[in-house]
Amino acid sequence: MDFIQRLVFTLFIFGGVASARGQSCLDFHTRTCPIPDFSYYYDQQSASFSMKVADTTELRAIVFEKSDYYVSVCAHKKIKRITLNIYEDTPERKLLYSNSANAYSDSVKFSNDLTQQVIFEVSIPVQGNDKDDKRERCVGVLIAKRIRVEALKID
Amino acid sequence: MRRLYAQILILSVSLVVSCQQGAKEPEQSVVNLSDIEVTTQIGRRKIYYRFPSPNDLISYIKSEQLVYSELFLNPTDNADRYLGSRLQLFNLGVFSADFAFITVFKNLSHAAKYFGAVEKIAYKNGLSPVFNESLRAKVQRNQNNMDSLSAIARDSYVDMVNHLTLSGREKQLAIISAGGYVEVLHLSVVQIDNTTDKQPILARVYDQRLGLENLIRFMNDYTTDDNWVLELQNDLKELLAAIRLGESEPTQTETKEVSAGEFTVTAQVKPVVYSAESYTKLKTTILKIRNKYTNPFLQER
Repeated sequence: MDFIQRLVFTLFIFGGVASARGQSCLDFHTRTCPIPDFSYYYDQQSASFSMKVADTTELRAIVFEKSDYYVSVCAHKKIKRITLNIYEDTPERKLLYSNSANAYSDSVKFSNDLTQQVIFEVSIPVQGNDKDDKRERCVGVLIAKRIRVEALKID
Repeated sequence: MRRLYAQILILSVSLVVSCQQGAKEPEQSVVNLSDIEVTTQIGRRKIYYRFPSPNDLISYIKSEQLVYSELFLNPTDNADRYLGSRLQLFNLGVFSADFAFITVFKNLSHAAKYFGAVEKIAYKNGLSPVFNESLRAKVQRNQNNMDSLSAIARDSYVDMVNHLTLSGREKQLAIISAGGYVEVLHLSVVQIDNTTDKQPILARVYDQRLGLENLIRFMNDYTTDDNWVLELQNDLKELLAAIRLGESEPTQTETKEVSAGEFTVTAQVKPVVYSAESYTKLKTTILKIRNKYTNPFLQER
């Protein structure tokens, strides 16, 4: 009986640690990513995930017409460089923005005139990061938006 | 016995470590059929699908042409009648959309009643940490302040999404979101009688196909072991097919950098055309699916 209890306890502890480590990234963006001014409000399409050096994550979301967006990325302090590319989610995958052309800036603002699917592609490049770092790290994408007044006058 | 315990302990430690490390060897090439995770030679590629909340959808569709009537909403009496957690969750999404609709139209007299319906179903489904006494008090304090109620509606939905995500209940989030989408589409088409009537709203209904596509893909993870969710996903696919009956020319976008870290996407948005037949199909499909899940007690299933 003592053995069973110890076994269950051990599995419970290790299971809990594993689960906690997997889940802990989920609200990382709300705690860590840069935030815009108060004219924007939080978009629930924001997300966090765990990534390693050389990994790429695509966050496929919807942006509305006549709206302004603020998008920021953030990662664990061991990650020194994050690449953010924004594409149209079409077969052509037209590139709308890349922060590599902007000193790997952690935020971008854009004004959008078309309701469309977009891909926020986040990568942790080997170049600029410790290639020997094999650990999963938290990475977040925060999306905030504001509706332009003209959006309310569509008639 | 001690040796056996030690062996099992070592085994569990190695299992935990291997779970943490995941795809340890990025050289391996794996393509997952669900399109959720693709491992390539340079590292792993993961894809996450996201879609707007009912509040965002209502705010998007809202225009001077859209009108308010309580008759469009799901009666709050139904909140007590849904049996089974999945049906309740679907209707939590429906009532959340109704509440968002009410706050957008600033109808104070119905706000508390619909918030009560949301709260009741949320409480039954383990969401009391979000819809708690403090939130109820906040609603009471602001029941004459529509702007505050609107912010409460938006924030509480975001809190609910975060709570479900953090507690690993994304399947429930998928069902709630499906209810939200179906209700928003219902609130739109129920007041459009023909294709020449209220064209701008119709164009915005057509745009909902994009979020619906992402939601359907998001649900892929939860359909293999749950026939109810599979049936719901199939209904959403039928809905999506009906929305796609609308015709519009492809829109070309132009991107322009305004300054470092700021750009614009401009486009000449093309009109959407539904033939009388295709609009009838769209409207009947939305009404049929909405009725199936909000009034199951009126049907033989």
